[in-house]
Amino acid sequence: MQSNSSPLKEPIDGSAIDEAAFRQIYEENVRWVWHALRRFSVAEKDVMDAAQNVFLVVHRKLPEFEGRSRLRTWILQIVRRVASDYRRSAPVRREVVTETPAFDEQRSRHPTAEEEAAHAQRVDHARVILDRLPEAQRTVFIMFELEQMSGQEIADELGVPVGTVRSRLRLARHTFQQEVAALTGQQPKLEVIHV
Amino acid sequence: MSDPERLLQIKPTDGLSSLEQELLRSLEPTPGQKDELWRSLAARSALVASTVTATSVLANSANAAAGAAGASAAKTASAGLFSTVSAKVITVAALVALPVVGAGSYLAFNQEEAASRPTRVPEPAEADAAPAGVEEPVKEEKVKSPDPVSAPPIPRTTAPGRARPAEVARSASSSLAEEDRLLRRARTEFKQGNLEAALGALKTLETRHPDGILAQEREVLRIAILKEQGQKKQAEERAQSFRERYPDSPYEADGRATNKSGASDR
Repeated sequence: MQSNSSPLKEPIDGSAIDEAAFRQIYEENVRWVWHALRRFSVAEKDVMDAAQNVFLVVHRKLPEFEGRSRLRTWILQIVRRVASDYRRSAPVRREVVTETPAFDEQRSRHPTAEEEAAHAQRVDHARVILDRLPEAQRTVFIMFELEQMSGQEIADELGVPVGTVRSRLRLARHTFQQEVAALTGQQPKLEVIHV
Repeated sequence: MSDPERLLQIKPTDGLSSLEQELLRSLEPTPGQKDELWRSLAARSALVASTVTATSVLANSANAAAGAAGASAAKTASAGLFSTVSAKVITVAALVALPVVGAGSYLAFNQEEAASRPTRVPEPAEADAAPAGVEEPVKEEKVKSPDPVSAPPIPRTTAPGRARPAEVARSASSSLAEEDRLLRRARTEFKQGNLEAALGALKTLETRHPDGILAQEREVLRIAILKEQGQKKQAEERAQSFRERYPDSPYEADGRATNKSGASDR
């Protein structure tokens, strides 16, 4: 899922970035960037904006990417920085949010307000539960379950042994299941909801 | 050894219940969100292209530094529409130079920019956050920086179409703890067979949080209580409207089960 090198065939001279190449980078990385922003505690309502900022920076800085590290590692630095900016400025930003309904006209299919609200509700639900996990567990949980990183990749990024990743993940899953159970009043690991 | 199966003996979401998986799935960016994000990125690059002219004009009449920015911007503009995202830095350079330029130019600049995009213009605070000195952003284009994100914060674009559900989610989450408490109480009473007390707690929940986050859970419990009370018809009706109202509910299977048992068991 993560690309090991830039899909761009040759070094870029800084004057032109091929849209198709950038699109490819976007498609290959948007998913994990999205989750990583959550991992770095960007508020749910800011994830979209933060992701946009990440890719704007990626686009602008791409000519400087020298391929010494994996593209993912390089983008992760950008994610980290953007997330940190967002966390710092979050209280201010909350006050300046403006709606831009004009953009809606461009959408091919409008989810109904109810669908959107239902989805937002589900996301909020999931986010509340994630945020209840102790940070060390939450980080590993998001990296494994959502970013779909391997145990070794997680260990490398966090600088901890794989065994630690494994035990944190085990704990995190347990806590996550407990929290879901607490919210729904069910025993963990039930396939269907029986009331 | 980087295979998660060997290292962790499990794959992502393996061994999680369907509800747990459903919750995790909801956190994935939807195709709509991905499209929207891509369109915003493309729009931002178009925006920069359209502001280049204004920036150049501004720069030519301002000072030498901003003049360099204008030349640079012109060069970037010729490199193709999409690649002009990098001209954003130039825009910032012009913003930093604004105090030097007349207020009239500022107004003209803002008007042009406002007309070219659906979001708010960069706030002074954001311009202030830019590296000190007019030349710096321009220099940044040429000098390789070890820091991948030395640019000033990018003006926020509010995710179009997301504002509404985000509003919903935000207001809902603030009262989630109370909802959770009430729902737990209702469940405890239900499990102990105190149906009236359970109903009472549910009604309080419904009154205080009619559109709460746990509305689905509340309704599922309500249906269960009705069944327990032997009010088959009412339970069926509620299950039916539940399915209509929440077609994508993780409790969908349960709603159907309610209906089935109501129709066949009694």
